[in-house]
Amino acid sequence: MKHWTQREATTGGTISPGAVNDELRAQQSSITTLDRDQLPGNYVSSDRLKDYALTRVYSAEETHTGGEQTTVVDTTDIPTNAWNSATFDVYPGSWQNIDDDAITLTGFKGGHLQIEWAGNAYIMGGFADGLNVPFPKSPRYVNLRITANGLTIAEKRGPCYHEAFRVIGSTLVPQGDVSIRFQWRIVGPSEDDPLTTTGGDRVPQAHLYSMRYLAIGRWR
Amino acid sequence: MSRITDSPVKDGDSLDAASLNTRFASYTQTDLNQFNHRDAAHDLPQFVNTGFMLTHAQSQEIGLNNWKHSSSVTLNGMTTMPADASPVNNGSGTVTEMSFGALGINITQDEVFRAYWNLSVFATAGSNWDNASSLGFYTFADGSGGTKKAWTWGAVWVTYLEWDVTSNSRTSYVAVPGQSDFKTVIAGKYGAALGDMQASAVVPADLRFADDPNAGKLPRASILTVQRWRGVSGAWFYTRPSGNVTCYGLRVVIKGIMHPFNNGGNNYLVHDTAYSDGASLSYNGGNLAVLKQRVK
Repeated sequence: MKHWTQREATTGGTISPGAVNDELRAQQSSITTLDRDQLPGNYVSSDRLKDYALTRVYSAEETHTGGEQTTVVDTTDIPTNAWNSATFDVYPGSWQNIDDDAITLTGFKGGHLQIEWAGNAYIMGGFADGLNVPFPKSPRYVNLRITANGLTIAEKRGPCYHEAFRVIGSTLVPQGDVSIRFQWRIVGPSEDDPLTTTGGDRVPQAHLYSMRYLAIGRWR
Repeated sequence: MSRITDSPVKDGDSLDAASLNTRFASYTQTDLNQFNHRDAAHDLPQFVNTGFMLTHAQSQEIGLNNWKHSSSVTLNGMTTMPADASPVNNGSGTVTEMSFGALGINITQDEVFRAYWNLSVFATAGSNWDNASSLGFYTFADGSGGTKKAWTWGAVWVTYLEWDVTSNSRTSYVAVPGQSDFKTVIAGKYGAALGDMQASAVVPADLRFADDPNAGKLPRASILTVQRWRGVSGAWFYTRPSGNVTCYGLRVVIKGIMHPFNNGGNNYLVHDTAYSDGASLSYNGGNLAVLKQRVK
């Protein structure tokens, strides 16, 4: 079998000389190099391989800068004993990115991707037992999901308390830079939710913080 | 083996689908077969069998491993500031730290150090969540001209990592990089900015529901629900910005009760000493595991 391994030509795409030459060189080198019949055992070491030949690890001790969500953050009339975070005054519903910018896994050569997203999540669940809400009432969760190039690869119901979380996704991803999104979602309030304190402050509903990730690409 | 010679494409050359396909087909030879491209590829026998990707792995139990919860270790809420973190121990005074031996482990710039921990915990809330000095409540109208307090759902215990990078005597533990020790003074309270919590995992310290909230009002007092035993699980991913570091020990520590707080437009997690008075966290066993691996 013969596959494009460098730059696959696609319908409607533009090409350059490199698009063709890189592919030909790669294919040519693969049949003119030494194969395993000519190599001794225990020959291939990390010193003999080009960087990222087999695998590549991407990680961030905080994502994004500071590790806090930066979208849907209300800064108006927030109580001092709470965070500038998502209130129902600013949350528009549906899935939200943790940041406007995506995470880009550059130089992904195509193959298996495992990604771990860890952090802590706050959710206000204290008003789930509304008098006028029929069973099963309205439990609150911070739903979490990971998308790779726009496709959901992992989804979790998420925390229903203020607690730590970790979401792990695993999938096959084609060659090229991979765009990763970490997203969250909460359900709306019931008709019984008190949303404003007697002091006129808005009640924070959810917040993600101390987030970090680790991604491992394996392509051989 | 075979060799293909073909002139490269140059800027200005005319190239269309037909010519592209012609070039692509030019190296279709009998040698470009399953054997050359798959069966003869480098395989496990050609690879060195140690230190290739994973350069270190280690795990151990932490705390008091009594999975039936017939006995446990209890940590009282911290009321005197600044408080030192409490290292997870076995209940007999022995800290269940992870030792990396006399030589330690060397974390280099081209590696990522992954640490994972979990612990079985049981939080007892105490009764000061709605103390006037506590951060733990909001106040809402009760619909009858009065008010009722409701829990903020913010109070937590925090578990985080400390390491010793000085010597194998392991007497100089500090919070790992990116992780605060929660001793920063913020508007008279002790805590940390949320951006300084890269090795933290929190677990709720309380669990109280508003009883029958009705059309935005709270006609009744909140209800306490006992949480019972539950787990907390954390992860830390660390890469060296430059140079190497030798780590001799790693341990999980606990602080609490902590509560959300904002000051000057910034978010913090701070000690709530009023709430902590009378509260406690019991724990049993858990696990601490590390993986050190090359990133390329």
